[in-house]
Amino acid sequence: MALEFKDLIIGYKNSRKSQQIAGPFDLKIPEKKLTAVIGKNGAGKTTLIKTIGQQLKSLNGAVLLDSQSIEKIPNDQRARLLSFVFTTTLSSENMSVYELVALGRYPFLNWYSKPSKKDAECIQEAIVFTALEGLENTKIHALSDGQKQRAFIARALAQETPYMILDEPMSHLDHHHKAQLLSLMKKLVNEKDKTIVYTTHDIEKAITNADFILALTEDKSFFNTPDNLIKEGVFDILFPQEQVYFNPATSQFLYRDPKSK
Amino acid sequence: MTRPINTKRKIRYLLLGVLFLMAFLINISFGSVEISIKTILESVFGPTTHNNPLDYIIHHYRIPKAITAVVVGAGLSISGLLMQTLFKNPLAGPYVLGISSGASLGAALYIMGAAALGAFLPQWLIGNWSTTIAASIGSFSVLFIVATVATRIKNTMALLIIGLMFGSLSSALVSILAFFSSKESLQKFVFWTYGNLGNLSFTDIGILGLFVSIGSLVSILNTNVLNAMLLGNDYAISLGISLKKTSLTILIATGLIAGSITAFVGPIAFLGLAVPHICRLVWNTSNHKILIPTSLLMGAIFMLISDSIAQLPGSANVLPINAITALFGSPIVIWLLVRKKQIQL
Repeated sequence: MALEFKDLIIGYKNSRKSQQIAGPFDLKIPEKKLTAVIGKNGAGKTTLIKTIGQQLKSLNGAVLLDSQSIEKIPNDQRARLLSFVFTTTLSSENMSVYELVALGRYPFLNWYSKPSKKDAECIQEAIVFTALEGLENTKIHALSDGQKQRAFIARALAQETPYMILDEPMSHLDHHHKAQLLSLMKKLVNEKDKTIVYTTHDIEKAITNADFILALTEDKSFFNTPDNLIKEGVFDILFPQEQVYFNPATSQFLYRDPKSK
Repeated sequence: MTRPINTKRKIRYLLLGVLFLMAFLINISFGSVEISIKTILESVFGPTTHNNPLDYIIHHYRIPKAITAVVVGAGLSISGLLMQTLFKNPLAGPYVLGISSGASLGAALYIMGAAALGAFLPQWLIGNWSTTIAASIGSFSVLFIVATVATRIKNTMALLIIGLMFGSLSSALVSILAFFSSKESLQKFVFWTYGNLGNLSFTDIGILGLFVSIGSLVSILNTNVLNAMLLGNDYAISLGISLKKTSLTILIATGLIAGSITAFVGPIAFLGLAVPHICRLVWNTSNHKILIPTSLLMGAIFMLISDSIAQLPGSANVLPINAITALFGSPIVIWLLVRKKQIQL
């Protein structure tokens, strides 16, 4: 089992033209590790996620699962390997937490089958693991942002896939809930043997918490452990130097004071 | 979906069932001649002595009309629900695809155009069924075009707009036809647009029932898919749903239901938009496992009551059913919305 990118170029295309956003990527996502994807707005983080999820087609190369192109894997099989947390809002937030999490079991249901005992157990386990007990019957629109994000992770968890792909799971969250979510993701890696890829703007947290980082810049991508990326000086070139610079000693990004120039 | 609600669920369906039976009986009893419930029950379940004139009315007019109301109400509501979920739009109804406009165009071409061509039309074309056939051809042509377009575009919002454009296009053609047509045929067409539940024979009802059942069955088979669609397209794909296949299935189911209903009873639009909202608001859920059966039942009840009101009990006049559904339904939706203060799909 392995999730790989082979000569992968991502972007958008329609009948007339194609617009390359990032790539080529040639790497293997380490198993049972937490991988963060970083890069500034427009660098292609979400495009990458949607290419993995088959919402977008790759412009070139392929996402491979078990050395097989993900485009060739049947839909239902793919749904048992990859689960996602997206940033999109639901068309209906008038469903309960339990109903949302239960939708994670969709790939295991046939047309009208009642959820089995196994389904119910998975749902319950996901709810407990994400600390949502007591909120089962609460509607999604009544949840706080932190609870909502955990509910979406619970839904993905109920899907029981070895890979979990999360798009900006920490946006809109305060420090407390960011910390909570990061430890939840680490717990998923350590206790549930999940391979997690998540995108984030919080590079400092990614440096201290992720096992690997995929950094996207305008013309290149870098993939390594945070320590090695610091040594390579990748974080120095991530943002325009005249505005933001990286302090390797504290692993912090600092803004230049325009007046001090 | 959690267990403790099981008894609540039983009570809900029991209540709807009782309401349905009451509405059905009342619908049969109301009309130019009021027939007591006792007479109806005797006529249906009692020994067969079909010499009573009331018996004849019950069996040949009232019961077919009541069954038509049930099929039409249930069908429109379920197709409205399907469209709202597919287009993720609370304003969608069974006719957003331009199906009713297509049917209207077909009917208009036949009713108003045939007057001009009347002399050349063979006798069999001017029979009982011809408006129905013309309307079916109209609605299914539009459905076919929309479905073809649907396989080419990704965006359901674009599809919604295309449906609306087809609607405007056919309305424009109907207006032009109306402008040039005679007073008599124009009146005939306007009466067709009012909707009429009372004109169907048992054969018609059988055909209509078949189409509506197929469409409803497809919806029931897709309960889980419809629920997953509520997560939005990205999640739906990630759960292994093929959006193209699903939208085509839903489109065809809706087309069968709404197209056949419009062809047989005219463009009765309002119900399909309103009933799913009523069900969502009353049961405070977006779960199709609850919404599909309750919309079916609620739609039938709603139509039976509307038709009973349209009969103007004790009078020989019958009001247009199309007006009554909106007159009776709109205040309910408004009241529910004001009370609950929020709406979600």
